[in-house]
Parts: sequence; C-alpha cells; structure tokens
Amino acid sequence: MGHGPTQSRRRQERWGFAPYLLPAILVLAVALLYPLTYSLYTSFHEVSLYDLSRWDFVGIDNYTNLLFGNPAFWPSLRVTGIFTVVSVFLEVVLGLAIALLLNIAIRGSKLARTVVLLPMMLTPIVISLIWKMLFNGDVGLLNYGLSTVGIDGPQWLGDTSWALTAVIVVEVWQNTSYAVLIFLAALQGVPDDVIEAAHVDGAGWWRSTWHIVIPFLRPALVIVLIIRTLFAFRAFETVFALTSGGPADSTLILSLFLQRTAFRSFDLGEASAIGWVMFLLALAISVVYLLALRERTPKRGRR
Amino acid sequence: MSDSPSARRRAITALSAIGIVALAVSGCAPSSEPAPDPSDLAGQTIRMTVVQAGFRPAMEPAIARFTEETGIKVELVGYGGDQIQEKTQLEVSSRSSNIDVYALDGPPYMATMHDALEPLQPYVDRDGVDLDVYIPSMLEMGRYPSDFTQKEAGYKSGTGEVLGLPVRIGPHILHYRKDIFEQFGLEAPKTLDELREQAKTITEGTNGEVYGVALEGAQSLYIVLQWYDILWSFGADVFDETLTKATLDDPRAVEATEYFVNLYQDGYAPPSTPSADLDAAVALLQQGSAAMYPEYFPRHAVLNDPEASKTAGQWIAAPIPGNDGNPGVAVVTGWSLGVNKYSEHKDAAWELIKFLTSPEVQLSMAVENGNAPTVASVYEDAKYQELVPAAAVALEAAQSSKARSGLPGILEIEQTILAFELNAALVGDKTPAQAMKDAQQRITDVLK
Repeated sequence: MGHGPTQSRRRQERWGFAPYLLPAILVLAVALLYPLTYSLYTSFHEVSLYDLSRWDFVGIDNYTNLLFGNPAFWPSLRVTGIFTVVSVFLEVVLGLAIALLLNIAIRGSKLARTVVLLPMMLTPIVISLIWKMLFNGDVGLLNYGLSTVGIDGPQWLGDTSWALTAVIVVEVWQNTSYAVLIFLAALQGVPDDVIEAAHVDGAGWWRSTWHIVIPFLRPALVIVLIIRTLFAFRAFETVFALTSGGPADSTLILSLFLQRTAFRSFDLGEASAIGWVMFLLALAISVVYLLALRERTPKRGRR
Repeated sequence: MSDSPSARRRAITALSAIGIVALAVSGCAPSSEPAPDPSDLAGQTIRMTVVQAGFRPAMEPAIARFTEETGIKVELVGYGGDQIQEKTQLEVSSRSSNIDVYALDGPPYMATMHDALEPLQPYVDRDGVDLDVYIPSMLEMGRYPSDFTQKEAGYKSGTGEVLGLPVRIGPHILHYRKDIFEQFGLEAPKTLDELREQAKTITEGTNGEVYGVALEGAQSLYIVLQWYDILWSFGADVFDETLTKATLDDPRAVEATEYFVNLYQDGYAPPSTPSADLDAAVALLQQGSAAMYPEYFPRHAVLNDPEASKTAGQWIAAPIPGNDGNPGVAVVTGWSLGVNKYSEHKDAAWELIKFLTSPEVQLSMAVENGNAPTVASVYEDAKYQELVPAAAVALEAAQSSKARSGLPGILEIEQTILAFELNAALVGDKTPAQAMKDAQQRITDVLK
C-alpha cells in the first residue's frame, strides 16, 4: 500500500513531458514522415509526371532497373563519391588550418574572421555564376592569371578531366567557412592552462597544437564531418549552375541525376527510387560516423 | 439545430453541386456569351510565364501599357531558357491555377501540355480576331495536333485546335560580322562547306583572335538546336514523319554530326565551346571573339545592342546555308501564349494574349523593344525594315524552316540523350558515329 500514489507520480514525471512534444511530433510527421512515406510509395510505382492519374504498382522494378539497368547510375554514384570525399576532406583540412591561424590573436584577425565567413553568406547560385565566369577558358580571369605566369590553363568546365575538379574547388571555396566557424568555436573551449603548462614543459606551438588542441577538437571534427558529408552528398545548386552535369556527364552527381529523371524523363517512380537510395546511403554514412564518435569519446564519470 | 451533422452534410453537398454547376458554366464556350464587360476585369491580377533573358524585356513595356489601358495587373514569372519547359510541365501536371498565361515554345510543349490549355477558337470567334495575319508556320506551332506533333494519318495543316497565339518568332539565322567578312573579302556562305572554309580563313587569318564560328557546345538544349540546323540541312532527321521511329542510323546523320563536331575540333570555334551555354556564347560574340553565329533571330538585337556589345552595328544576317545543292533547313522556335484551362482569370488572360499578339502591338514591340514579330505585315513596315535589316532574312527563314518535334518524350530525347551524346562527341569522348549509334538506341527505347 501507499506506493500507489508514488508510482503514479513517477509515471507522471516520466510521461508528463509528452504533451509538450506533440507540436514537434506533428510538425515532423507532416514535414518529414509524410513526404518520406509518399516517396517510398512512389518508388514502388510506375508513374509519369505527364499523367499523374495513373499509378501502376511495379514492386521493386524501379530499384532493380536503377541498379542493374540504368547506365547512368553507377558512374553518377562514382562522381558523387569523389565529389563528396574530396571536398569534405579539403574543407576539414583547410578549415582547421584557417581556424588555427585565426585563433592567434594578432591585429586584424577579427576582420579576417569576417572575411573568411563571407562565402557562407552568399547564395550558391550567385557563387556558381561568378565562378563560371572566372573559369571561362577563353575570357575567364583564372586562365588569364595563369597565362601571366606562363601556364596555359585548361578548359575548366569544358574538359571531362577538369570539370569535376573545378566543381569541387567551388564547393570547397563556399563551404570551408562552415568548418572554420565550428573549429573556431571549439578552439575557445581549449583550456589555456593546459597549453601554458605544455609550453613550460618545452613544447612548441606545433607540438602543443598536435597533441593537445587537436584532440580537444575531436567532437567538433565529427560534427563538421557529418554535416558537411551529408550536405556535399546531396549538393545540387553549385553543380547545376556550373555545368548541369556536363561535359559528357562528367559532373553528373546523384541529385542532378534525380532531377533529370523526374523532370526530363518524367519518371517519378525511378526518381523516387534514386531518392531512397541516396537516403539509405546518407543514413549509412551517419551511422558509421556516429559509431566512430561513440568509440573515441572518453567516457566521463567513470574511473 | 441547423448545426446537426446531417444538415451540415446536406449543405456541403448542395454547395459542391453549385460549385460543379458553376464550373460547368464557366467551362462553356465563351462564344455563346457576350464578351465580358472590360471594367469587370479591371483589378484582376494574372500571372504569365516568360523566359528571363530577351523575352521578358521585349514584353515588359507593352505589358505595362496593357495594365494602364485595362486595369488588369500582370505578374511575370521568369525562368531560364533551359528550365522553363520543366517548370511549366510541373504546373500543368499538378493542374495548378497558379499561372494564367503560359508561354509555349511550340510543338514540344503542345505534346505534353495540350490537355491543360484552353481552346482559343471560341474566344477568337467571339472577338473577331483575324488569324490570317500570322505567319502560317507560327500559328501552326500553337495548334494541337499540328504539322509538327504526332497526329493521325492524313492530318491537314491548319486544322488542329488553336491552343496558343504566336507572340515571338525565332528561326535560326546566320548572324555574321560585316567588318570581318569585308576584311577577308568574303560574302555570306551559301553552303555549309563554304561556311567551314570561311571559318578556317577567318580563324587562321586572325591568328585565333577571332574564331570562325561560335557554338553553344555545353551539355544543354542549345547544342541540340544548333545541331538540328546541320542535321536537317544534310537531309537527315531524328524521327520519321510519324514521329514514332528514330532515324539516326541514317549515314547522313553521322556526316552531319562529324561536320558539326569538326568545326570545334579543327579549331574554328573557340576553345571554351564544350562549356559554352547561351550566355557564354553571347558574351564572347559581344567581345568580338567570333565572326559567325548560327542562332535564334532575336539574338540579333542583343549582338547589335550598343550598350552591351563591343561589336554592335557590325552584325548582319543570312539564311542558314544549305548542303549538297539543297537550301538550309533551320530550326524555328517560336513562342505562343496560351490560357491555362484551370485559370481563374481566363477572360483577363485572353485579353492579354489578344493584346500582345495584335498587329499593332507586334509592330510596336518589334520597333521599340526588339521583339521578333509573328505578324507577317510587320516585316513590310518601312521603319522596322530600316531598323532591323535582318528581318527579311528571318521572315524567309521562318517560312522555310522546321519546328522541333512534338511528342511526349521529347524533353528526355533532346535534353538528356541528344545533349549528352553531342557534347560527348564534341569533347572527343565518343566518335560521332558512336554518338549517333547510342542516340539511336536510347531514343528507340524512349519511343517504345
């Protein structure tokens, strides 16, 4: 006896928050769950944008056709893979380097911080249009600059062996500032006393950075990796405005391939299948990152 | 009491019945009714799609005048030239009433959008609009079915339903530089072979300062349109007459593609050609980097615009040259305006179309805003002839050229398959023969 009320109070404590979650759950259901289920449903049907009244159930045909019948899928996955891995790697390395430099308090470092964050404030389309002019092989500034030092620049956007590089350059240029921002914030949390102690013990800037600062940045690193990988994986505007996938499909990332399937071939079923393959891949990447994070973070509160 | 569920249900049923009746009434042919009182339309706002570059600035002043005269407000929804088709298709497929007036680029649009367009004949009859003022091929492009779409055997030109009235014409013509041609003692090329020779002379004679010809080689619709001129002038085509079979296995298709690709690979087109889209090509020409440009007639005004172009005043025009003793067959694209069947402002939408396609406004837009007119008599206007000497060439081209094909898979065929294959051939990833073989195979798959 007597434990009845306690139990109900405990239940109330445990579930009392539920009503407050309801709005969030509703928003998520409408904004996330519905489109997800709807596109999953679509991916099992043959449906054309031209005639939305006909839905023919085709089972997993869209998926098998995509993976084994569509000649553009695997090359597109490869392009997306290279684009994502290379741009995220460069963003992290450059972002870390720039953040460490900006963290040294010298005159003008505040101004430099603002300048570094500028690309984040511009629209991707605008950035791409500017870069498109810079990259122009005939009248572009980039090749003009190269020619003044005696280098005959390539046709950046018109050469199948350079276009992907050019696209990655723009992606990195735009998004490194995100990495800088996160790393800079994390650097503020690195305790000065530990570093000072290291300096007293004779460690130089390089050693103290490598052995003390960078380990402190690990959680920030994981955040940058996850966010940037997922965003690069589903990038669209930059490549769309720069090359639209050309020349000869050499920059056809998956999101462009999806857009092309949906709005040029009008094949909504297969486009949804591409969307779901992308979603599952993104999910897999996130899980891998999260597992890596869990293993490496020292458990606090245990001895 | 009246709040009981059954009463409410009855009310809803009644209301929907009224709605259906109202819909049926508003869907009736307007010819059976008197024209609406113009003052009823004042204050309405209608939305019209346009291509952002060229098209929009050509229409804007006339549209402002329309609003002044009628009180009907017009919002323009602008898209890039290579996106407007898919954006329009999205609106059409969702049966949205968002847009009242659709800009329609000929048969490819008609093929997939004709169901969503209001038949205009009743409006034409009601208001006594004379359809004979238009260049016949331009009017035909606004019909479905038409000479250029899939149709039943025995279709007679000019008998398809009128779904759009022509507002802006665009046959391909050869824009070329008067000064450069004079410098080298050349005259406009009569054949494609001659064009290549001249391109060579100019490129070599200027040490590559000025290239012979500018092409839009990027992987997009524009490379396909420029290739059509060559393909058709070689006597080949993408489809047979019924638009049900691919015919790129014709050896002439390979020859035409070789000719096209070689203009670039032999060095007579600028090195940036494989990434050149419309804007890049125009920028290059305005800078003076190329001497010939087979493109859309309305580009002429842009090239000769003293505010934008260093080469303004030097551009004159000739027809697309022929091949093998035959005259050239250029692609003609041209914009019609149609009324969205699901629009809530059909009468106001029609008023705008009637206004913009009228002979009087076609003349003023041609003279004042550089629009390329669809009304034949405008081309005889002395002021217009003096202002745009290329107009006579354009009129002739419009009458002898060929429109893009109107069939449901055309967007995929042109912009995914042909754009890729041609661009791949241009950059040397494939031989022209291989590109045509692959295109033939892939188009055949789409047509199945």
